[in-house]
Amino acid sequence: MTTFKRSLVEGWLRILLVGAATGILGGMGTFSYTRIDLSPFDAAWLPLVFVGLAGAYTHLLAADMRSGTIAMIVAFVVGAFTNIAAWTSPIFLLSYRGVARDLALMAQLQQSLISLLMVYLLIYLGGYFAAVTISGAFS
Amino acid sequence: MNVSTGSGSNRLVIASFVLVFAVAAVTFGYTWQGQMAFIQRDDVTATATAYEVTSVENGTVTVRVRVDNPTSKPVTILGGSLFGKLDGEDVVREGTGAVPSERVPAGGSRTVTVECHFVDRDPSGATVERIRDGELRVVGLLSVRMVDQRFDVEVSP
Repeated sequence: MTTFKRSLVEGWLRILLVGAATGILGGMGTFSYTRIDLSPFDAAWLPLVFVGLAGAYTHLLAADMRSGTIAMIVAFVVGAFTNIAAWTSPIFLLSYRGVARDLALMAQLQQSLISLLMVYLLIYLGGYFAAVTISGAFS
Repeated sequence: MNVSTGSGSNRLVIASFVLVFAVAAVTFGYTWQGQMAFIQRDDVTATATAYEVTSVENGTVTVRVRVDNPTSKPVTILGGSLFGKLDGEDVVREGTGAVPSERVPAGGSRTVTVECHFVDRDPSGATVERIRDGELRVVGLLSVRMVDQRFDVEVSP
């Protein structure tokens, strides 16, 4: 493999790794914030900080602005999937069958999509663009 | 100001990210466990296992209710309302604040004793006799809390 090809592969691997890791962080934070009343923790703001930091880390961990943008798209998809999986996975792990499973699944999907729009979209992108703006101002 | 590979600031950013990720994962784990238990809340059951006319003069009937909690989170009984029925008519109901607060552990069960009163202050002898013969059908709702989420559990006879 030529040096050019190797650096290209490494670049894409880094984008995918950064996107996946920060996306999982954002997805976990979004779920934890929306269901904080089911956790033993009182600090409801803490998961929101995780979501905002996920956006900031996507930019900070990327090699440059261009790869950071691609990593942000990857992170957004991975985060959305993580959040939806966290909401719906108990339905599949528990012995729900037939109509009961479909009804429970629809209810959980609805809640997960609301949290994606109300929390993840705003806070994650807010963290990402804040990091881009601040780092741009000080570069 | 993206992180350049191999620099000192790179290692600092990566280390701080790993730390944040670890704390977020712990928070997420506890929350997901709560979600798992809350989805199973319909499996929490309450059954009126026994009752006894304790005093005809005072018009009191004690009812024992067993709460089974097969979920992975404890639940706390906050209160509730119980009705003792004969031929579909309320003849007995719980006193104010009579349902005691009790913590039912995860995967466990607890029995609470609820002091109830005759709806009619001067019940007929036939009514008392029928209750003593075991014809009373106790139903109602218990209000319970799992972590910070409240829900009702139906009491079945």
